[in-house]
Amino acid sequence: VAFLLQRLTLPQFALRAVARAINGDWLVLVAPDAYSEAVGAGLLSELKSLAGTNMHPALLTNPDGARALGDRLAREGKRVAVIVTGIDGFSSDEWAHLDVLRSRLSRSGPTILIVSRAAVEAMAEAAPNILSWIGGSIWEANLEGEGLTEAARQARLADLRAWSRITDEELIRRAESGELGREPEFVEWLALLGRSDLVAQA
Amino acid sequence: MADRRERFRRYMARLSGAANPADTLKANLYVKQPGRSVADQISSRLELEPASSHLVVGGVGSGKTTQLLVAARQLNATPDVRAWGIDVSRRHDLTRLQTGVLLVLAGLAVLRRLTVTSEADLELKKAKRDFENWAHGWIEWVDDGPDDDWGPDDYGEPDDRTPIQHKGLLVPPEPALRFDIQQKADQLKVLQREFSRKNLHPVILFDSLDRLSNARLFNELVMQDVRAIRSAGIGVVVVGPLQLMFRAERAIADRFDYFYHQPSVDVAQDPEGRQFLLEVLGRRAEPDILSQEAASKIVYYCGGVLRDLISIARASGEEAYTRGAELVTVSEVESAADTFGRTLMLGIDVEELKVLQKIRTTGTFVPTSDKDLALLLTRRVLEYGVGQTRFAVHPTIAPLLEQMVQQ
Repeated sequence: VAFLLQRLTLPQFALRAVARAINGDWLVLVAPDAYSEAVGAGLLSELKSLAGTNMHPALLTNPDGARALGDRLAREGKRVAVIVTGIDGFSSDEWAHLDVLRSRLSRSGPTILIVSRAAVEAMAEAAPNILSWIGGSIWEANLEGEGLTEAARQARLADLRAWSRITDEELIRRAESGELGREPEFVEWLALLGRSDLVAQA
Repeated sequence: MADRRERFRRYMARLSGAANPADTLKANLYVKQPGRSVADQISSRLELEPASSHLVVGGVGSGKTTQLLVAARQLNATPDVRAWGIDVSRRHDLTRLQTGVLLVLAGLAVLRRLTVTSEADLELKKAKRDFENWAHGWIEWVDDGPDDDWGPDDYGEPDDRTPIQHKGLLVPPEPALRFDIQQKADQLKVLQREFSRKNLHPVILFDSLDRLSNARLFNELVMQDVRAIRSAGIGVVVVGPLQLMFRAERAIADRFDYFYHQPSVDVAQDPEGRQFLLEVLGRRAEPDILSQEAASKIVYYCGGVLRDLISIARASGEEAYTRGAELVTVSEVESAADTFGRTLMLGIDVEELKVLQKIRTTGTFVPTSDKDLALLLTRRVLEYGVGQTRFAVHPTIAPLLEQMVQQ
């Protein structure tokens, strides 16, 4: 059962990360697996460009399992905002391992995980303590206008279909017949299909 | 503009779900729960029975670590008690936990508070060396064994008799301590005697063991390590996994002298509880940034889980800041709660969804399967009350579940 997450562009997400600069908070940005590194690099650049925030961002890529991630996080400077990519392949056991290591992951700077939808769902199931730390700080990357449009568009469409359990055709049929609700997700969906003209009829 | 940013920064700085509870105490942000808290009960019982064993169980984010820290602080205020907390996961990889580890950690904790000089008696020096060896390993030089090329001569005359073992009828209710555990317990007694000489009672509080999903391993730790520490005359407090509250694992909890449940605060039925959570927020957020109405809404949405209270308050502040608002209002709280609920629903399957809908509409829940327990561990379902337990879905996911029915 897919629930839609709130979507943020990289600059919007960066602003939220900056608001956490003085806490050891954990934040998650969900992005398609194939774009994990690109999103990490994009976010790094966004954070660096935010002047006067005392943000010292760094990228941590492809840790070899939970223990390696813990060790590498511990080596980063206390105040550094660490962006972690390349952890989509973590198995449930690896997430569970990270969960029991939680106390060792405590740091003063923010930690940002860039993960796929499947990975964040696996984490939610296997790492309840980490999820509790993260609280509600999980967003989906809105990659439109980031040069990644088509893949991101397809990934988002897949999420919307799974959430509503209807097809694109059914969506358009309902919009044309005025049966479609006015939820922002439907508006977004129609826009992604290039049928914003149907929004007024919905 | 800078003023506004500073105000929000101050607000955010005091609201971190990942903050170390020890920092919360240092910053004087701790608010005592109404009635007798778990910390109060633990400390008063250990003052009277310094070598007793105690188990604390509660949901993720319910404040167990804070209660442990407060209990240690209260015990250390007692002239003849010395209490030390050990976060096991910081000292040892919990995925490699085995019997003996807690005993060794206890030994090292006690040793750190003892001065073992070159004039100390031999027994004490040996205990120190043993614990250091057990913790960090050692190299032992042994004589080479006999020649491996055994010939027929080595066996002597064959014996026609076959041994048959007849088992005794009596089975002790608790298995004896294993030889290696008994050995460590004996050395722990040597260390404990040093405290006894000064009329001091040591108490060790172990945190993080609630993250163990293997109830069998936890049971072994209780049967060996906890018993051994207690037998050495040292009080022991352990935070254990939530599943000990339910199913057959409840029998493990009965092996402790005292059991404590740290439930979520019942925000729906306990006015004192709601007031307590408002005070927790009031200690961290000035009224000029968080309105009373918004604070009440945060209390409602957190479902009585302390860490969720902090997380939703922080997210509400973030919403207000990014929207350009001067104040956190109900609108920002609603938005933060919606985002929070969506993250709690990540990875949910159809079967779990049915269970959640049933709890939402009827309040009925009997956690029996692993999947049921997972709903509690992930806080999608919250349990309230001491004695008679009440279950409810997390308030942030209730509207999402309702929407699903309407679709």
